[in-house]
Amino acid sequence: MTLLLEVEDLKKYFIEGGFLSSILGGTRIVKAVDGVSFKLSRGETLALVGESGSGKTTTGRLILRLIEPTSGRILFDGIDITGMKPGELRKLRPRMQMIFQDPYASLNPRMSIGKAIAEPLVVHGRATWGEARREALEMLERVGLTPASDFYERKPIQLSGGQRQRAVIARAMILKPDLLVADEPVSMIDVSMRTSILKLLLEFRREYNMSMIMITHDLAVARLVADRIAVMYLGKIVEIGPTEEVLNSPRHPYTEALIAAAPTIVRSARKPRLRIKGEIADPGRIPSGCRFHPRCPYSDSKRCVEEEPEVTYYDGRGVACHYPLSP
Amino acid sequence: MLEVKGLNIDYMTLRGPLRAVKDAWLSVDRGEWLSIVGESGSGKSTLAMSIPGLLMPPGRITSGSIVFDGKELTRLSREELRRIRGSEIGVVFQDPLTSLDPLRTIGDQIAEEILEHDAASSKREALEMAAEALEAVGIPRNRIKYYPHQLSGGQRQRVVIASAIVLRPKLLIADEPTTALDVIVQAKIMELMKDLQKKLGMAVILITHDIALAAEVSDRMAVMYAAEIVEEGPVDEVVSRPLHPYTEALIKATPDLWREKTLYSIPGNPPDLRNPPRGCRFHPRCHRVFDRCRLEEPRRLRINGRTVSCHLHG
Amino acid sequence: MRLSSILSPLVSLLRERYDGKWMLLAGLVIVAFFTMVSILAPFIAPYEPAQISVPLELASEPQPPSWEHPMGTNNIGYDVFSRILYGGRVILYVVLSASILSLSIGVPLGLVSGYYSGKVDRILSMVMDSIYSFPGIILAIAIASVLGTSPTNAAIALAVVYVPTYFRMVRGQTLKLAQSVFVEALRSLGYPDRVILLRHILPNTAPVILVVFGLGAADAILTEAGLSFFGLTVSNPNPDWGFDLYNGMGDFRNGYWWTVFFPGLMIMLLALGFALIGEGLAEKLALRVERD
Repeated sequence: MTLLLEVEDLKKYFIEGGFLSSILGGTRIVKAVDGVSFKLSRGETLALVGESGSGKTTTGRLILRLIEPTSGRILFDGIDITGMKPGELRKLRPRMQMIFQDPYASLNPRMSIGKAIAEPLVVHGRATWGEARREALEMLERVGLTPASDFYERKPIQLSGGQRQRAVIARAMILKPDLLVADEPVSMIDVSMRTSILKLLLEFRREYNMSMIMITHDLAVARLVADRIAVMYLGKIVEIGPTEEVLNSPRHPYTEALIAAAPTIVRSARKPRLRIKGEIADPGRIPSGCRFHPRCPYSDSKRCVEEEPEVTYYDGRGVACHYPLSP
Repeated sequence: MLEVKGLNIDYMTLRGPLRAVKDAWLSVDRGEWLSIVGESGSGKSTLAMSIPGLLMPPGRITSGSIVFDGKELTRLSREELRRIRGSEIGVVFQDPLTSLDPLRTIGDQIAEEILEHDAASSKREALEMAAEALEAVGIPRNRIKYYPHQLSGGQRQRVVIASAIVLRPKLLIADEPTTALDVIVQAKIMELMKDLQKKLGMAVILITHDIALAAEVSDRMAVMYAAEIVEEGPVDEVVSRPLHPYTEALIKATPDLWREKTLYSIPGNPPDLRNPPRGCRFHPRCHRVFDRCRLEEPRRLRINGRTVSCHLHG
Repeated sequence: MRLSSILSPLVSLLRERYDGKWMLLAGLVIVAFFTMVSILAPFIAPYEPAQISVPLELASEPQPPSWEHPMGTNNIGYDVFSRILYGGRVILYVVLSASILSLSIGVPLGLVSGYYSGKVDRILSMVMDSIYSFPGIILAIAIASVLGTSPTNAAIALAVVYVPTYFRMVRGQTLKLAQSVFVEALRSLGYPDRVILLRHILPNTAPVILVVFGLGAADAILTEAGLSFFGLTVSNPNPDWGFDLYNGMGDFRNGYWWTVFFPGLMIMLLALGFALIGEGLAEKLALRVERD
């Protein structure tokens, strides 16, 4: 498999507090993303999983350079896009698309669905409005918004949440991207329709041999679509590996806790009380040593408090823990 | 302890009335946990909020009765309902931020509620009760002087739960209490509510869209679809042998780490409640539909302590 | 908005009683009526606006309204009704061209300023805020005095006064939209800023621009009348509502009410018409327009 994306030691620090706090010494550095590295092959799906505050969404936006990284490198198809000028980057944009969590907010409320889907082709000079209209109609059909000519004219407000997300997917897919970053694409969709959205994404992935980064807080959703899972905690990847392996035998205590916390209707699978302590720390006050140590049910060594574990790889799996769990 | 009989709730909208809850029947025993499961717009929140008299204005109970502890709640005045809320029925909402006053300490807010219900003779006594309630939900008593913004989302929801249970209500109604929270925090809040249910012998009504979450914590489960309760019964039976095709499909469509991978989803969209389908409301999306479903509304059937509204069962 | 304190209580009273549709309709009817009448003035007016229309012996004293002179005559013997008809042309010309001018400067600047926050935004905002902090009428008088008396100069003076109103509204809306998910989505699609601004953000600010246009024009009517009052729009013997109002002041004290009453009434009615359009639109579009 050929490589499509390489992310190296990506960091994003936000400085919080304005002019006044800079005088009074109230500014603080929020390390939203704090050294993330991974590789993504063509046609592969990686799930970025974590709680709010884990930096998964910021990572997704950094990869597409919707926000500027503090440091680190992003190689897209061998091209370093980190220092790229806005004009050049714009030419590359059709190849990397993003869909956002809230389908209600991602569309221009005053523009018809069909026009919104056709417009990218025109903007990038790939088609005239007439041709773009035809392609948009095909795309509407393709994502199940039928009759297409009827949906073409509708405004976003006339669609249900699930239908809107389909329209957003159609708009991203009409450019036939090589990479799709999907940020919680189903968390605001009704349960009965969630999997149909995921299925649609998987179909496009196969059709275009597209790579996908699925940002989600829900391990069960990650399991349905991802080849590999990267678990993030406070701006860092703490565990990464093939989906089934990570879920069946987690090596990081945090991954284990996430799995244990996922609700299930399978009675025999219900586990005893969660042993993880407290809640995720404030990214402006990251704990010393292993950032997970204050919550870790196993940590009792000084090493965890003093020394930060780096991701070490073994057999295609990576884990950032001084004392990884044994299978 | 709680009995809801033939409850109908309408919303007056600009385009005419909309039935948000249709002919709902429910009962909850002392100390029992009932979860009401449904998707957005199914009427689950409307139904639950009508019990303590918290329906928002265009909504109105048009018929039916709600009997709680021998009292007919639909006939009580606003003031009488207010007295019952907090003291006998505790309520927890989805977003803890909106239920807390950002400008006052959490201790003050809980103490005020105690004093409102004349459950303490002095502010000092009320604060002591507040501290105990905070401890009961796992917040150290020295945080009584904290403001909501000094707490995390999960801790705030604990504070809301503390204020809901401080007067030892017989029933706690929680409307999607963990939807805004992370999975681990959600699991912990659920553990806490389970503990409180047992310790205080309190009944719980949990409103949720997550059937797996409901399956983990409840004793009984009611499933709502398009304003109707389509199925109700002991949770294990409902989950392992669903009687209604919607329940069956919803379980199948919910991604679950511990079951086989499937990309099953329920076809179609939920109906427009202004113009619901004829016959059974689920029939356009149902995988077991037959002729009768299209013409005739199913009646509520009782089968071995469970109820279901589906033609498959008679 | 700077809507003068005389009008706003009336408009808020109307807002409580009637819904946006009726206010908008009433405003459009009033404005359309005045526009029609002004255009057709040469055909409707019974006399020339600056010609003595009564026997010379009566000319030096204002004549009360009569069949021949429905609004009476003034102290030179001009027919007030004819002057009202012709005067409407001046005020509409000044106010509409001023509004269009300030819109076409304020809107693009607001878009750019709100979209590219940073140095440009800070400088533009500072300039606009300093203009805005002057009382409108005083600023207009200052500019018009420098430029000299003419309707076009009055329009330019008014345009300067109202540019910041458009700028502030559009900048605020743009700032909000620029941070919205849908604009971020357009950026991720690789849209050039020009397309995002013109095809997506601008149409979303259009309702606000229309509201500001109505309310701004209402306010400009009153400011224009002020300018004319000080003789900065037209000079004698040209007809103009504000100027006639000023010229009639002396007669008013002697009991000749009609030379002041009719121009004043027209100013109020036309201002009300524009205000109703603005308020009606705001109500209909459920916009909360910031008033300060």
